[in-house]
Amino acid sequence: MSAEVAISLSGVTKRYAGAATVAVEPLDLDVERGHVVVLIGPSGCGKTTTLRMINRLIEPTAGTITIDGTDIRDRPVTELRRGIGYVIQQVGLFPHRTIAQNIATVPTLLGWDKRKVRDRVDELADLVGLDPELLRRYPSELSGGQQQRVGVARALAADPPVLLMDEPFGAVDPIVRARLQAELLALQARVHKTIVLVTHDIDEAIALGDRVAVLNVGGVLEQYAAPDDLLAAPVNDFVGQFLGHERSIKRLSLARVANLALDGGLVADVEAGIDAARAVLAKGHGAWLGLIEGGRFAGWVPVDEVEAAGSIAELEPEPAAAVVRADSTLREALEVILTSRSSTAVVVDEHGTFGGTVTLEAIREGLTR
Amino acid sequence: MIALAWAARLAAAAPEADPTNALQWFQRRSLRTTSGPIPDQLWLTLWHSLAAVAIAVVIAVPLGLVLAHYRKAEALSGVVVNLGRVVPTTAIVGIAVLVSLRNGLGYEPWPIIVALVLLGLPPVFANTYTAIRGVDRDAVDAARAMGLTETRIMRSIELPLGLPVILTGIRVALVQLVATEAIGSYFGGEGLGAYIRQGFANDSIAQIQAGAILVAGLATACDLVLWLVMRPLTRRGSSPRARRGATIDVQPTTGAATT
Repeated sequence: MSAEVAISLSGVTKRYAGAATVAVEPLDLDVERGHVVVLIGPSGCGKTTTLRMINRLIEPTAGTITIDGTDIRDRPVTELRRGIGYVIQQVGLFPHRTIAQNIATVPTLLGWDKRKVRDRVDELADLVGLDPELLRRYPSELSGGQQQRVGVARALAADPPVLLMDEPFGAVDPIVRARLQAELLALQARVHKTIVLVTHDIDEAIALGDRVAVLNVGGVLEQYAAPDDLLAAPVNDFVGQFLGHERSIKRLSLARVANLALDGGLVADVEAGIDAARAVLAKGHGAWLGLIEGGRFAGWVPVDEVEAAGSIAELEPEPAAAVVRADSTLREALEVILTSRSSTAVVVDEHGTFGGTVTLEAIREGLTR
Repeated sequence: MIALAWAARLAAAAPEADPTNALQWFQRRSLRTTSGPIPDQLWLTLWHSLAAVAIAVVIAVPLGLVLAHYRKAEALSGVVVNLGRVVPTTAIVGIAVLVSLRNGLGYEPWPIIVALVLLGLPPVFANTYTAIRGVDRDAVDAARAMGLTETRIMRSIELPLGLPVILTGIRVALVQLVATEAIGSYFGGEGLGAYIRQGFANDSIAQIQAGAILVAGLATACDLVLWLVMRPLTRRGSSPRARRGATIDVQPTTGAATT
């Protein structure tokens, strides 16, 4: 937790006149620079209200919000907003302006010269994966997914350090949503913005968030933690129920093979000879023995053949079907393990060099770490 | 059958004037010297109406824009729509003539223009209000979130997006005003209504008919011209959703020369 805080909410409260309940209870929340923080909760939990208080579309009743240490009320509101990207579910593109003009909104407001604006628009189209051909079109001529890309490009136009996203992928179909989520992560790896994102989709929160804030009705912060910690240890029933079933399955998507303590498993080097191979078998249980030849995984051999063979050279290893990389998720590893006869995934690097094996047992231990 | 009857009449072309034949009235200048040349009267009616609509636009469009932007006067805007149907234009011209005469401004053009402005305000205001209310909230929300000032949101987002509906309101208003302008003639004004007034005075059915045809024709022509002029303005760039936007299309009162 050495990273510096970019956005800080302290005691932020929203109470609507005449309303019986409080929209947002005094809320304290710190967002670290370069992090994606996801606000999630049932409807009425004040997640959107909280988001909109950060760029003062809604004024808090009490409390202070600072960005980079300065109170957001210290600057003119329009100037503040020009420094914060904003993406909403409905995109909110200007239907009477071309895509290029839409993207150029904030740079134009800031008075950039035409050439600089045009270069920036081209750069952004490239960044969000938008066909330059579309820049001259109008929003109504684009698909939902394309419009949302334009929305993101428009929000990033003046390179604001902070990005607020309100259910940005809520209006597109699941396939496009998954792709846009992946693109956002790839984009974030390049631009390192401080992002606050609101969603009601727990899978989206887990996939995108560096940290997830689970809010209860009335803006009560129930838990604020990294997705894996959240899934591993929900603090109460509310968070547990909100995370839903299959929490362990969800965690599989978050952890990577490299996070596991990889061991060699039932694997022997061809050079070591048949006795060494039999010694490996004696240490563990399994129906198959893996053979390594010249640092590479040569394949699997049934245990009874190893027992019967006179020398290693006689063995004819079957190539491994279940192969994963160190950056594969445990979910991918599990998938190949379930379909492999040896119940073991082989980890190799991009050059094919053997890096260890992953078993069901290793995955289970990894989750209970 | 009617066409045949008309043809037979034309063929007869009697030197005697037929007091029920509007076509004859159009053909013979000698029959209508009492109320001046047709182009002059057309022009008078047109400029009275255009001036009134322009004033109504200058007043009602900014007012409707600002009130709708800040979501004020919701109830008023509803009332205003119906107000348009109850404005006693005849009574207003009557009062306006008295005020005008008292201030030494004569019988025209001010009384009729004042009355027409009052008649034109409701449709222009109502359509502007509806147009701005109908602008995509998300676009306005996004604009505000990106740091556009409220003035800029009104000018560069709401006004252009509401333009098709606003223009419809202006068109409807102009047609209504042209059709109503004729009543000005009953209060000492000139314009196409003068033919109708003189027609009644001289028992010339033909002249009454001709006046009514001219009023209706001018109103229809205005409608058509404005529609043609505005069409390209309302097409480009606007989304299908905006084009389909809610419209208060007050029925044009063409031919209502006797309103």
